[in-house]
Amino acid sequence: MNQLNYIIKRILQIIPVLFLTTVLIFLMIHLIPGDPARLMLGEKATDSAVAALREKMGLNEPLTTQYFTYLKGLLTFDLGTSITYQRPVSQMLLERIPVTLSLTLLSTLLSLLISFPLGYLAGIHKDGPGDQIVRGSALVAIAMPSFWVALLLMLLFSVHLRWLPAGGWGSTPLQHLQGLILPALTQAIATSAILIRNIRNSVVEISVMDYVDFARSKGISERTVRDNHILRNTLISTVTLLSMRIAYMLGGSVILETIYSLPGIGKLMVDSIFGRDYVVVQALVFLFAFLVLVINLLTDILYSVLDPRVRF
Amino acid sequence: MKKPLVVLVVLLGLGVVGFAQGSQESKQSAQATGTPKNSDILVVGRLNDAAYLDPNAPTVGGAEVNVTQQIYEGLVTVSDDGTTIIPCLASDWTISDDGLTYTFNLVPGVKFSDGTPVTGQDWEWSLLRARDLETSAYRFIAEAIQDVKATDNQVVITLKYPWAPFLADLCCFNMVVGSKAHYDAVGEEAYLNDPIGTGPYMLKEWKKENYILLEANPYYRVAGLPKTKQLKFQVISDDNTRMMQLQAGQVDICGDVPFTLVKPLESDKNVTVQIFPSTQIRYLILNTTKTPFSDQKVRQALVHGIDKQEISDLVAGEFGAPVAALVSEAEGKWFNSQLKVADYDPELCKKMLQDAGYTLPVPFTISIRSGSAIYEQIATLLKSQLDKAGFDVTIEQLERASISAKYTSLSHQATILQWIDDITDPSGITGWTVDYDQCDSWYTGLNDVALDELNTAANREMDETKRVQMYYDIQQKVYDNANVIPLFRNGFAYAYDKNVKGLYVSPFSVVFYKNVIKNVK
Amino acid sequence: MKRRNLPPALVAPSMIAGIVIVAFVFFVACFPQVFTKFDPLEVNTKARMLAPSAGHPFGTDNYGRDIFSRVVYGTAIDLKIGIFGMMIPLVTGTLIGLVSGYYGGVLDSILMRVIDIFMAFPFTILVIAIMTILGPGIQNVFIALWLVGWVDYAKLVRGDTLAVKNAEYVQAAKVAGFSDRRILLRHIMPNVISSSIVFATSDIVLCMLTGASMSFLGLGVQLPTPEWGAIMNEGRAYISYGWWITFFPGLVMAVTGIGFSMIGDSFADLIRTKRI
Repeated sequence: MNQLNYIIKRILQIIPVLFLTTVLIFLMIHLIPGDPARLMLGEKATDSAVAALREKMGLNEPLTTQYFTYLKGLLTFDLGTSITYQRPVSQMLLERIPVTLSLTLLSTLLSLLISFPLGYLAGIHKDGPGDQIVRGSALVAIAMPSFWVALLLMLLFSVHLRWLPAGGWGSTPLQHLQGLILPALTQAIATSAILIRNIRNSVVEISVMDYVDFARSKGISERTVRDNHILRNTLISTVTLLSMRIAYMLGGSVILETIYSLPGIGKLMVDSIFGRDYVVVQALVFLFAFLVLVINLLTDILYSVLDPRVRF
Repeated sequence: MKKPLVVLVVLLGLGVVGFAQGSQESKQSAQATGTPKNSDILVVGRLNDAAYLDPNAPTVGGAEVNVTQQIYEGLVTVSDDGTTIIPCLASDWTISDDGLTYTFNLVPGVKFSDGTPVTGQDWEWSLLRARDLETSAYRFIAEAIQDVKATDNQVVITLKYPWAPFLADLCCFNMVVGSKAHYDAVGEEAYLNDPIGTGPYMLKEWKKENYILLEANPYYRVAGLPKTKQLKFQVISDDNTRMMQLQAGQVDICGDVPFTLVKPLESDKNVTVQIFPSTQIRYLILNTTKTPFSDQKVRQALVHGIDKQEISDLVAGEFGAPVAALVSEAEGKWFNSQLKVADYDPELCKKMLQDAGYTLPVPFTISIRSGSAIYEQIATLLKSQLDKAGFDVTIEQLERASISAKYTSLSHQATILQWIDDITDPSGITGWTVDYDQCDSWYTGLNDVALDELNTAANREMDETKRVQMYYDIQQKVYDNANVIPLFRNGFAYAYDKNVKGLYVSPFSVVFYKNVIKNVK
Repeated sequence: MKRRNLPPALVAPSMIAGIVIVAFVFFVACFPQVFTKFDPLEVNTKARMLAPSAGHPFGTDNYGRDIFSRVVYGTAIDLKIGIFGMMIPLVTGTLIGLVSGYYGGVLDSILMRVIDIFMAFPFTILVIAIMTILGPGIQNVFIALWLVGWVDYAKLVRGDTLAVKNAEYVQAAKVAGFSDRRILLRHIMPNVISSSIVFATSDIVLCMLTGASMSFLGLGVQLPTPEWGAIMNEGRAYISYGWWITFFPGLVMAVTGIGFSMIGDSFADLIRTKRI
């Protein structure tokens, strides 16, 4: 019962946060000096052309009017028209979100596949040789810059071995998958390293906590103790870290998308900031904010399910 | 715990092998069905997608023009070597004695790619739109036009004043004919993205930020062209990836090859690297409305502190050379060959600064656009050289909007910009540099009235010998003013599959793909 | 202290190795001239793109600058970015997370909503937006990192605090009448901070990587400063035939990161052992 109330309460709390977010987004992008019309016209732009374009784009309207147009648009699911490309933003998103989403999904999957078994085993066999190797590898993996890893992976698998294409998204699902493997692997290496260390430490710590002792004292077998209690509690801090990483990855990695030529939303967001395409930035950042808030909500709910000791 | 893990690992491994096989197979099958001698499709890899496909759109850069030039045609065009103006949709023309009336006879029977014939109305509408559309980035090209009257056989253009560069202007990529009926049918916004022209190719498919696919125009007036039926412009947003895809055979042609990547491509025997002569020059822009460059003596001293040869060597290697004249050598007779690169003499620079009353070092900031390897290299070298010549240079990297806001408001002290000519006439670069009203004399803020008037007169001088001398004088004056300092020129670097034949790039960065083929075994 | 209580973690080999690495890195940062005689900014057109050799252990770049000397002089810059970028958020984030998790209620709700708003903005976008507004340069990299970095710590610490605040020893302390502040700092914090410290050591590396990413995008440190990320970025253009320009700064960054992580791991072990 408490749980249900909590969930409803959290959902209601999202609304003022979302509203405040729209104000912040709007202010943030408009505070940066720079003229999108001049950028579009390029190096040979004359002042008269710039003025005419600004007028045509509605950039001369007062800020409050532009904000309310934005807010109204959000409420009616109209994300506006891109200034730079003169296309509906929703169309651009429909093309790009699947790319970033599938990359995030694939790399999360790979991370979990790599980190859970490795972290768990390392924690159980603390200080053994397996533990040392796993921890050592994780250390190295965290410290490597993503674009360094990306370039080296591409050099190896695309240029020398020719196993995978050198970037690109392609047009068929098979090509999509081929194009995702290396960037997903690049992301998974970094994510796994963080998760492994956390899982391993949680496993080690929780082994010595009181309720595990208590379970042992009740005569439950060693194996059951491990699998039930340790696993469940390891999940809590791991879930926190993972949700943070997923939010980070969903923001799109502009660096990976650039190096691997993936038409995702990370690069779109950054290009739109540099191009002062207010409409796209406002729509994208809001969408992202919405996603993150939903993920946070689900994470908190997961907390309450996983750990009965957590009370609200 | 261990068993499911093993199963997963095996599955993953099979998956990877499966995908690798998949990519191999698709390549093989493409080759197996390619029994004709030439490939049906050419894939061009480029960094950016086009924003629009109308040459009169707000954004008209290389990404846009490389595609529209395959689709649209105009009255005249430039010969391959970039020096002569030759017929295109006009078969011949006459110019009135007062230079105000141009009469073009049209090639008969030309159709748009939707099968409709080109009418006089289409010509009138197209050329006047190029002149009048307020949001067009290249509107200034058509400024001299007073009126256009056309029948289905002839186009008569009257000018406001005699305008020597006019024929060259007509070769520009935005002086093309479009279908008024099509415009009326789809409206202004859609027309920017939905081109219908008379050229060898037409638009088949456009996946934004991914690729543009063109296919042969069935109504093209020259039989047998284009030689390759499909042309695909593929966006690959990273230079390293783009070159790797070229080497891996995923793309056939890449332009704008960074000079740093030419070396490994040259040693790849599957790739041909070709450098085409170009009109591209990099310039150092000094703001004369602020210290220290408000003092001409400082500017003239600085010229001796720059080692242009070192910059050219490091940035463009064997594909570049230092230059002294404002106008490109590729403009032929207009280029002032008498101007020489000033001696590199850092001690002389120091002495000139001190004689002018300055205590060394003289500090200034050079602001450049971030993310451009070439500008970053030039700035790094300039700092290294000028720090030894009595200056103290700080480099400031700003992203696109910030840097353009900075120099358009004349808030910078120095910046680095570039120029590629659009037309086979020097009036483009000289106008931009010398015409104070257009852009503050290329963001230097130098209002040299006499020079400005000389440029205006030169544009109206119909006697070619006199005109050449006037442009020589203009270049000499810019050299003396030292507000816009040309640094070096470089060629256009293209890399393509060794089986590609017939690729040619003009000094104005025009590429016509209609003659390009790729042999397949 | 009885022999039995001497924490084995203090003399664990990984702790020693970590300290040695980090101490060495600090030494290099403070006395670069001991390690190299080359000027990291000196252009030398006769020595361009040389592969690693005895004279140039890390090779040279397109300008003929010695990469080893650039990496050496860049050490101080990257250390600053990593450590100062992590330190402020560690302190502020931990305190916020402790308070939020312990007191719960309205305070927790508000703080969590603030965190939500921060996390709602993509990290990269936030940093880029801040850098674009403030302008480029290393000081603004710090400001961007501080404004954005505390959130991770707050969330971690809050989560762990929630899990232990109802534990027996906390109840016992409350019954004993200890003040909230004492309970928070003496009883709870030591038990929840190990996740933070482990994260902090990887955060040092993450801050350095963020600095490198800003160089990738053209914000961040200005040319020709030899920050490791900037060197790697300059080397991207030459990766197929000048791999050493990008490779060595990345390697050095990785080793530095490993050193910090080893310290962090051993430290976490130490805290955990002490608690019992």
